[in-house]
Amino acid sequence: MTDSISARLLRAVGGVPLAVVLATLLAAPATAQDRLRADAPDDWLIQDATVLTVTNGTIENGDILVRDGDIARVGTDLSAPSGAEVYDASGEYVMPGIIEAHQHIAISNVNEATNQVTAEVGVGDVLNPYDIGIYRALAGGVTTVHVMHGSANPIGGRNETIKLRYGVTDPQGLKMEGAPRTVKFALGENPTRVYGQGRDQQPRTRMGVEQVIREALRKAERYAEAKEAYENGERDRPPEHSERMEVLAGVLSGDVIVQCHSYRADEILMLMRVFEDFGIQDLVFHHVNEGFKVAPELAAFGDDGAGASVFSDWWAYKFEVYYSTAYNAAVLTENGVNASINTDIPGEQRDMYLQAAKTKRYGDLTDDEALALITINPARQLGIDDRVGSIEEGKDADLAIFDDHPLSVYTKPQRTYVDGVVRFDHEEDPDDMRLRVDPEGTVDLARDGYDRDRRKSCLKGVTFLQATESGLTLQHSH
Amino acid sequence: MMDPLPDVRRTAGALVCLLAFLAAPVAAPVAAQSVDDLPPVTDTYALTDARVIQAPGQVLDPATVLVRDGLIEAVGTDVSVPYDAREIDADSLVVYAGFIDGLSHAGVQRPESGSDDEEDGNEAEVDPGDPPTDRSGIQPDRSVRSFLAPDEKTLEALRKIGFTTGHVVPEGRMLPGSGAIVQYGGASAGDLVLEPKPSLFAQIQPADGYVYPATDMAVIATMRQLFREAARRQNLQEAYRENPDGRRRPPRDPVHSALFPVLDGSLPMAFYADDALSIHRVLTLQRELGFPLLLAGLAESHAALESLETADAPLFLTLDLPEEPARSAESDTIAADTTDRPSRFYDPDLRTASYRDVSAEAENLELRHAAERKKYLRTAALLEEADLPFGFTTREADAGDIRSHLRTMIEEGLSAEAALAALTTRPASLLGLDRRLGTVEDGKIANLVVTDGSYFDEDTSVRYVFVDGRLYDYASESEEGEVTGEASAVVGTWSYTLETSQGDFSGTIEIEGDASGLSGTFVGPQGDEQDLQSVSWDGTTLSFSVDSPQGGSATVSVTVEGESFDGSVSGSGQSFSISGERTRSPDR
Repeated sequence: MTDSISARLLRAVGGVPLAVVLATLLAAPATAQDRLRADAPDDWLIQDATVLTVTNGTIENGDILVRDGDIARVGTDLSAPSGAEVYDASGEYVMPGIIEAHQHIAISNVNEATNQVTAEVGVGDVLNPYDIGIYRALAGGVTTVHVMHGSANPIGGRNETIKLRYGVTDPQGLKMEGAPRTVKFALGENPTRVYGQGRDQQPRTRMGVEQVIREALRKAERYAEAKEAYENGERDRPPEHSERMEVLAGVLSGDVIVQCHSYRADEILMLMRVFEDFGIQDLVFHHVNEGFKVAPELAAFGDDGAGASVFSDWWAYKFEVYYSTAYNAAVLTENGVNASINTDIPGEQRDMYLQAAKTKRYGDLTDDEALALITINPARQLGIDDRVGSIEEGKDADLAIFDDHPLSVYTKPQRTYVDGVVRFDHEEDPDDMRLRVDPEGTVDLARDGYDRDRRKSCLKGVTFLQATESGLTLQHSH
Repeated sequence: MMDPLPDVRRTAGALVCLLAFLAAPVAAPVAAQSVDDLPPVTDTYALTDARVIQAPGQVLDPATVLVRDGLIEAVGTDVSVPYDAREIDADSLVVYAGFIDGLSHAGVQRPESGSDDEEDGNEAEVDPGDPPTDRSGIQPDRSVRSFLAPDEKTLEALRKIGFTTGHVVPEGRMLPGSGAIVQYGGASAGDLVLEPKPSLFAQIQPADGYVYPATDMAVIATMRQLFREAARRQNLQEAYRENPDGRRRPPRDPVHSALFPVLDGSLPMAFYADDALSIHRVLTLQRELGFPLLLAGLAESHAALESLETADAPLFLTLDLPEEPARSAESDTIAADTTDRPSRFYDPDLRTASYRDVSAEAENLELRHAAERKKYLRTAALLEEADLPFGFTTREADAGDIRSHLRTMIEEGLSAEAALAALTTRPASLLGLDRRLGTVEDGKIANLVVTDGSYFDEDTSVRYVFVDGRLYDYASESEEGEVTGEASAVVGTWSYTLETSQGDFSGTIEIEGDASGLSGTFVGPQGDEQDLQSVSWDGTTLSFSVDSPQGGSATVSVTVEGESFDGSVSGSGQSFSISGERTRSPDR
């Protein structure tokens, strides 16, 4: 509340006079085409900016030429070809669009919390392009998000890497074409709480989590063997089709990257051992609050190391998250682990640049190292670093423009480009950027904002059986 | 509560006995009192001097429609009325083809809930992650036919507004079973079914209770699993049929086998999807799995038009429309679709400059809701503009709202011709019934709607409905009572005597009210009471109807002369004399 009032006060100073507001109120009905950005240009010359390429240093008074949604040239004194729009970014900073490796925005479901192994489900099947959370992320310079299944199950569902093309209403239009498939795993208290405590099923302990994962992977091995045997003519019929095993067979073959919810050092080491047994190389740990304890082991995993996507400085929200430090990202980085910073919670996706900036205070990372935590590093974790994560010729024109250095606490996002299309514009966008409103709803709904209860997002959709002194109760997390 | 009998006896007292004569089961076709006095022994009817809308834009006026043996035998200007036909003088009446409902649960009786012992007994044993298929809502092997009941009340409600046939599907979760083409009237469940298996009903609907699939994404994954495993089983069965020698018997189960005709392309999946996200999800799944599709619901098709334009599927638009939310009287005054201040519209570019302008922002957002609502009202018109052939579905609509919703759609740009087509010829062809239904032509099934004006006019009422040549008479039912006579002439307490074949009954009638409307109570011989409905009084004739507790109603029409009346009580093809006297009047 105080936030929105002060925001409005700010705008009142340099904003639109009341008379203009009243005049437009009486105008004829306008279309809402602006929000959809249906015919928005994707040819741009962005001029005279401080260009933070992240991978190739910083260019003062730099220009970026965008053609057909791709970065065509990066340099100085570029000229605008005919047909290209020009944006004067003098005094402003351009960085690669921010990449969030762990979020739950833009999806209708988070957890299929009925079975310990649900690799067959995928949040990509229930994308919700109307989610205002997409726009809120854009307003923080975010352009790509790895939207994830929740952490109720030891092996959860498939995740989806999306581009924040807010305005596109066909859910398929959000998907980042060609991004590798990924699947959610989860260790520790969440699955043991849901299954062990909640339903008296396996896993009740961390040992049980390991057992569930090993058993599922062994089954997938048998499934893949049987399929191969059928294709080679060594078996008279294919095995019973299993969507679940198809995905896990993809994990075994390296087609599907495992993105694993984890906190404690022991369980992190456990999963690396399990994966070594099964010959699985592609592994990214999420949260990883005790990652600083096993940073060398993470760096040494497999051929390229295991990735780690961490919070900046959030901990102590449950027992397994007490042993934590704000130096985590820096320690991991210094040890050669490919680390990123994520926010996980819908509503928190708006200031990732500030979360990255904390690593300058806690760990003395360089600007490029700090920015890499929210750009090229998460891109590598998701297998999309050939397309996004830095300002390089040939990459997608996903760009975030700030009025000050993005690691400054005074910075404000000005514009966000996705595939060369302006999807957030601080100057031009109207207040009401919702793509859809409930036709039977009231205005109260329009003020629906960030809800603190959504902090439980990782366990959204899970029903717990909670033991209290007064007995057993069912608690549903929305 | 110990002994239910006294209770039953009281409610099933004389009034009930009395009304039982008058109101036979509602669904049974009734003889038209106003036509003649013949008992309903003939199934031949002649609607004479009618304005006949044979098909949208194709009118015969005046013409005769001859119905015999459940079929339309003749339609034309020079059709002679045979000796055995009951002639219905349809001068000033309009005859339409019976309306076809693209998807509904009409006539489907819900299984009694709560009494199911497996619910209580085995609940604890169900593994939420791997429940039996019926708990998951996977029941494609069921058929709606086993749930049909001709006296189910939604059938009557829809028939009353002109629907005579529908694509009826079973209730359930993701795969509730196969549908049927159902006549909205008939004597038995078998009578109702016109086509046994036109579709397999499906929806993105998670399981009931906290079991797999508990989310939309798991429903979609389960659809993939079922289709791909069914394809494997079908291949194994074909191979086995060709050469069983040395092969293991292929696995066989009713769930996967029910999908074989879908895989063959001979049976469409009938998906219900109302919101734009569901529409997209179903279309994406269809592209992936390649099944033939029928799509119903589509309330938000305005937000998925491009995808629908490329979809190769019959479309059935919901007859439900969003309602204005209830607000305080103050804020109601800024709803954009009121006509009192037509200059006020939603401004999509509004930026609120200061917290002092919050009221302007709130008003603008309010206008957004209204503008958004408008899109739904305009969806039918939009589908017509986009040249997408569509019918309607009544599934989510209240029968009582359907006619006003159709009028709204027409006000918002749908042509009356397209509206009629969407009720008749379009669904007939989309469902492959156009050789039998959809138009008023000889040889077609005698499903007809007879109204006293254009169906889309507010003042028009449905007078007769024919289903399979059976006559349903709604002519005697007036919607609302009308008071044009001096109210004080009838207000008060009347005693009455009803002469029936089982003897005379007497009781009282209380009438109260004034020129703005009359109401009252019908008191049976043993003191049981029923409210009077549709009380009309024109200074000479007093009429009203009384509902029977068993369903159905009786119409009372009497001529008042001073302090006494004389007239009849009728319903369900029977009529009895009634007479009475006023025992208390307002000035006494």
